[in-house]
Amino acid sequence: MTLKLPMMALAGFVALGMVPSVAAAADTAAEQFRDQFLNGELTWDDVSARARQEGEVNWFHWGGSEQLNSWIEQVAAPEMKKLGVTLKTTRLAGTREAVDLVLTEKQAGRGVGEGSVDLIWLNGDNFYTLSSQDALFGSFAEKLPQSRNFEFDSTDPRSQLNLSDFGTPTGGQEMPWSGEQYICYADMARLPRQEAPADFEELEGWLKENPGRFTYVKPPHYIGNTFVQTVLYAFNPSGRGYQDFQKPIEEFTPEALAEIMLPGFEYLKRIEPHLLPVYPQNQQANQALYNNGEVDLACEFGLYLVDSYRKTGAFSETTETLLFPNTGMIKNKNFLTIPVNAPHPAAALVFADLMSRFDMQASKLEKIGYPLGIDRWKLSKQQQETANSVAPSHFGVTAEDLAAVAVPDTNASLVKVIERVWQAYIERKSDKPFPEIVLNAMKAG
Amino acid sequence: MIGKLAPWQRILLLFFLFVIAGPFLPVAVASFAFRWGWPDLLPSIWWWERRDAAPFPLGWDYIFDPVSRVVPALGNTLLIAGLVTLIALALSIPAARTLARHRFRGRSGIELFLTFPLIVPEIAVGIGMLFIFISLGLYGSLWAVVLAHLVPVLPYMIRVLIPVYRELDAGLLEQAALLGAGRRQTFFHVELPLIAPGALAAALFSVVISTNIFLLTFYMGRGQIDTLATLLFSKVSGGGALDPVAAGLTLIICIPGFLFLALSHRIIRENVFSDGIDNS
Repeated sequence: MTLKLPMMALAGFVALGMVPSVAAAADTAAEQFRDQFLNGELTWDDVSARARQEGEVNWFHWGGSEQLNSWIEQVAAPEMKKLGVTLKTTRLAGTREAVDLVLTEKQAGRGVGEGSVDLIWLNGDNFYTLSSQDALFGSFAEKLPQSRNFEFDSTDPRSQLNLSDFGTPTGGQEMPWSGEQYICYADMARLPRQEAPADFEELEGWLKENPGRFTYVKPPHYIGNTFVQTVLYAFNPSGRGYQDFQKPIEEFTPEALAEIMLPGFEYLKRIEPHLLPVYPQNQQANQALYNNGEVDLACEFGLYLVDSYRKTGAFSETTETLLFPNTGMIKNKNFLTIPVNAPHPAAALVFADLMSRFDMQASKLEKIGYPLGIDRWKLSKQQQETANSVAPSHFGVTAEDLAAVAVPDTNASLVKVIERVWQAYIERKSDKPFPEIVLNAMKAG
Repeated sequence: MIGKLAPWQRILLLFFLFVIAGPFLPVAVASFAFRWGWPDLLPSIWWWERRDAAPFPLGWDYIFDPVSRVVPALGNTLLIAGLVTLIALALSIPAARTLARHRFRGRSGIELFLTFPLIVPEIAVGIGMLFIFISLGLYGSLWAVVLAHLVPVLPYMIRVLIPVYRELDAGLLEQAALLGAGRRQTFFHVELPLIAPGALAAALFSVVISTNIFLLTFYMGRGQIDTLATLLFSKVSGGGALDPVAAGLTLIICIPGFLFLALSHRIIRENVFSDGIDNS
């Protein structure tokens, strides 16, 4: 006998605890709700009522910031409670994990109303993955009451920031939540502003005198890609800067694309011997190089990054934002999306709407330095003044300076090509002719 | 006891103490830092100098604030590690005992099979396991997490226990039986005390492994069961420097292991047969 009895008891115990939640049949009520909402057959009151019935909403977001986590608990959750919904959040190490969870559930047959994830905070690749796997709830953004705070009219070129996510059309399947701009920062105690480079030629000259004092995040990480794109814009021989890079890949011959990219890539090759001989893997690793005094300036997305990091002590109190490169600093937005199998779809819509409300956007800007995701010109005069007065400092540059040099992202269909060209031309030091490298990168899909 | 050591032994002891405790020092200092950057040997601004001025909880204040979820996560971690260890022991002891004591066809094959989960990386197992768990409708609960943790834990435990049973003198068990002990008495009063040190070592493996599993916990808990590992991963996955909260969490994630060490130390010190075997 010895151990058999206790073992069997345990096994039975384990089994009992697990079996109850056997997969249910398709949630037809949720499916019906989705179809009716997307067809415009429901009023907002209907949605709010169903949200209160659902009672909770599960939001998955990157959880590495104490400021963000605290703001959610202190501001977002109580507001959501007022609307009759309990906000539950999952703090992710990487947004990819939430995407994988959604896709695996979908693959296992969990459809509308049957998944685990109601909303994900994301942009770029992760949105593209969900979109291309047909794993999104649908075109909801323009149907929310607070959509009035956004420019969704595609005839207005300013709507591109809301309708295009790293070049992927959003199709209203995600709601802008926050805006960002690619900035560089430096410690004024080590690199005084008047000595800091303002454009890429000055960076090259500065690097020759200060070898190894700068590097950029390694592509294909999006922070590194964005740096490369900024360089390509600046050296575009057509003189049209970012504009050529807004077009989808179908509109380019390999020769034409090679022509506008060559000077930028030649520049990257030229400065490589003067860089710190390591490309950091991500922005955190780059920050560590900066904080360890190995580099004097570093670049990543973060309009108010310097302010937030000075408040947490992650950056020195002499760190300031640079207006670099003044040839164009890429601006984009990040979004809230609802997956196809969201278990509480109405509550998810209510949450997306709440996050787009002016008071929430202003609070997020003031308390944690997350830029407005809503569009300023859509706001009342009073709201604009409030937004200006609560905005944290950029330290050393003004909002006008930054807005004046803002340029859009590269078209997503070109991003992969640029990545591959960087890997071939810079990383592997391919000695093939440049047009051939571009051709191969385009052929790779 | 240290007094009896030769000088070279003392130096060696100091060296090992330093190697073991050394890595904890900068982490402990970092957890109390506000600003610690190059070229300062120690933080230039400490946490307590800024904690009152901060608009949100800083460092240890954040860790002990409910918003950090550290307390429920510690509870979940201990509960999961405890359940995993108990179940794993219940499954591993008979398995190791059979594999160590009996010769049968395919034994080495089974031994190899039992180590497979050690060879396949967690990330490869994760998605596949999630898929199976969803299909069976058994994910999203604490029990699903426990079951998932057993997969990487069991191979270690069985591997540790097999040599324990190989070295166990079966004669002692026969003597007990000859002296009239029943099978149950023999197991609980002779066999179990004899394998206790080995079983505790195996249990320590289990506690430490379970405490640190991130991906399986995330998937099987549908992202809704916080453990110390899931909290820590959301802080350190970027690969940058340890910020004060990450440093504090790193120290806290050591708690289950230390608790277990303290506990097992007490058990082992109550020497195997110190209270005799006749008082049953």
